[in-house]
Amino acid sequence: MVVSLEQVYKEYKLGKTTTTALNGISLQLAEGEMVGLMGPSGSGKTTLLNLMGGIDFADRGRVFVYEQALAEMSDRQLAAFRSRTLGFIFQSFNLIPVLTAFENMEYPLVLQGMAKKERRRRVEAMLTAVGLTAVKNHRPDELSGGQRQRVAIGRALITRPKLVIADEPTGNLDQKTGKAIMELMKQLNEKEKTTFVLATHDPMVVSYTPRVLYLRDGLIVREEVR
Amino acid sequence: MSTLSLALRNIFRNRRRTLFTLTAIMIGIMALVLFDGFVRYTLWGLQESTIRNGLGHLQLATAENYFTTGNFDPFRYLFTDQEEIVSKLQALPEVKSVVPQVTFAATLASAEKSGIVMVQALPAEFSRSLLSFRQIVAGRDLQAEDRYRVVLARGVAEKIGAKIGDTLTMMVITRNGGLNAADLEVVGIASLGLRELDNIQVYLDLSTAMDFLDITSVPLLITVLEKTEYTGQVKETITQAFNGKTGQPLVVKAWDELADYYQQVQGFYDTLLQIIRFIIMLVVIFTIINTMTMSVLERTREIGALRAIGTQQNGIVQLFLAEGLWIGLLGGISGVLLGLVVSSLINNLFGGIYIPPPPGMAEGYQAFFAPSAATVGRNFLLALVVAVLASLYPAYKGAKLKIADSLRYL
Repeated sequence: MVVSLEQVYKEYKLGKTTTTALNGISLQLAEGEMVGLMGPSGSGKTTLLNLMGGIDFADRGRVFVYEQALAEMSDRQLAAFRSRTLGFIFQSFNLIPVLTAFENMEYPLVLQGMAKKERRRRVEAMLTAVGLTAVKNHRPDELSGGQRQRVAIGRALITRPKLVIADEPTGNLDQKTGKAIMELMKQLNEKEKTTFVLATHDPMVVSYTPRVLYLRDGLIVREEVR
Repeated sequence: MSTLSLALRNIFRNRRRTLFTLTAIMIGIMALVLFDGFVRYTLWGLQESTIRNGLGHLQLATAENYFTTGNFDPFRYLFTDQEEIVSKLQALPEVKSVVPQVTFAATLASAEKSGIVMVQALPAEFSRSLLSFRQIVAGRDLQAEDRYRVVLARGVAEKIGAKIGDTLTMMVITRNGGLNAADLEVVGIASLGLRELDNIQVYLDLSTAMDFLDITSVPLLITVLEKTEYTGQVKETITQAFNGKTGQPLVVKAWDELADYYQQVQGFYDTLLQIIRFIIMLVVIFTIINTMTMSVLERTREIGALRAIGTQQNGIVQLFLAEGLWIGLLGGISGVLLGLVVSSLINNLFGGIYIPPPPGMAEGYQAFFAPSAATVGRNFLLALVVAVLASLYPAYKGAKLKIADSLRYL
């Protein structure tokens, strides 16, 4: 199993009120799956993604990614895990504003300590794959929303991660650009057998995911497999 | 894409804020370079005036006690093989001149007033080299052929009511215990710079003094060197060369061991400099902490993203420390350069700055700024170290942010 959650609970405290984000979720994702997470705001989608990505931790229950219990890993191990196994795609792109499209994609490879020549080769290939070669030296503020999201996708995929976690990947994009982005992810899923988990409100996104989980109040209330 | 180049780009994201921070460091470092340069010049001036006001670079006597009580009993410490020692000293290449000297207390009287004075007697031809900081303000200096003539310090002349051409009577206890008196003609009045000396010092030529005291050798040999920097090395040479090889014991003292006033002033300036440095650095530290903390706050989401894609906590710390390093480097370089430019402008364009008489000094002086390579290096390093240290707290705060929380930060 790529991801395995066992009776996971997560609460947030906001002032004096406590909000339950996850209320005992159990879930398993197999390799090469492309899974959509749907549900209203506050249903627990982002929290679920954060737990899978090791950037937040459950109050109760256990989260395994590739048979490893994330809660038992040190910061250094988690960072290495995120760097080598995971790719993150955010709704608001979260690119590094002082770096060009090329450098943003190159950054995760620098973290891995990859040699410069190999980095350049991989980044050029990824720029071609996401159709950004022409704007590779542009900084994020010189790119359109669609171009930025493609840089973000490039950055997430450049390390050839086994699991890609995307939170509202098309949330800030128009329908046409959103579709193009989804086509790109679908291709990678089919070609590289990369596992994708996509949290979304957009029915177009889940039209690309054979398995859809519907969340409400921190629980999976329905599952569709097409 | 190294951490350093990423950090350099980051510090210019908010140009105006970075410029303010750099300006604060630049002004702080410039002030330190200027003050360091001022202290260095002032201490150099005091050092040279101390050396050339009769102290010389090295003093040789026959006993340690001579340096404390010798002026009141010079006869006990007279050299027995003075000629031989002088010729050996003169053979050293670093030695400019060896001046035999006797200093003694005496009573000096005019027709109406009298007072105790300290008489410094040395060969008149050495007056210019050894007493070069002494300024003759009336009359003239002693000359080689002068006998039974005297130059008075300004304070002594005023107290005793003497003027050029007056004849004064000097009384002294001689070597065999008798009382001797002599009439001396006032040929010059000198300003010595130091008020305490101005009120007590009197100059005679050595022949007159030896005749007057009934002695054939002196208790003190003053060595003037070509350069002040040679002092330590020549002291070592003399100590080794003469140790146990003369009939009498030989004690060698460097000028700074004898110049209490110089050491007090040096201590005073060192303390002052440390206090000023501390205050300036405190201001710089808080400016940098403020800038970096704002930067961490503004870049919370970005830090979250960097961590999410695999940057370790250490990586975030390194990034912010590198930003601090750049700020310190740029602020330090510009501060040092500005300090050097302003020093040069004040020295060359305005001819220095007039400083009124410091405590204990008789006259003010024109101060210049003489920043040394060490001053420049020290202040530059200070800027670097302080900037990196000031970045530690914001860097730690940035690294400790919870990733999920920072990604939600608006």
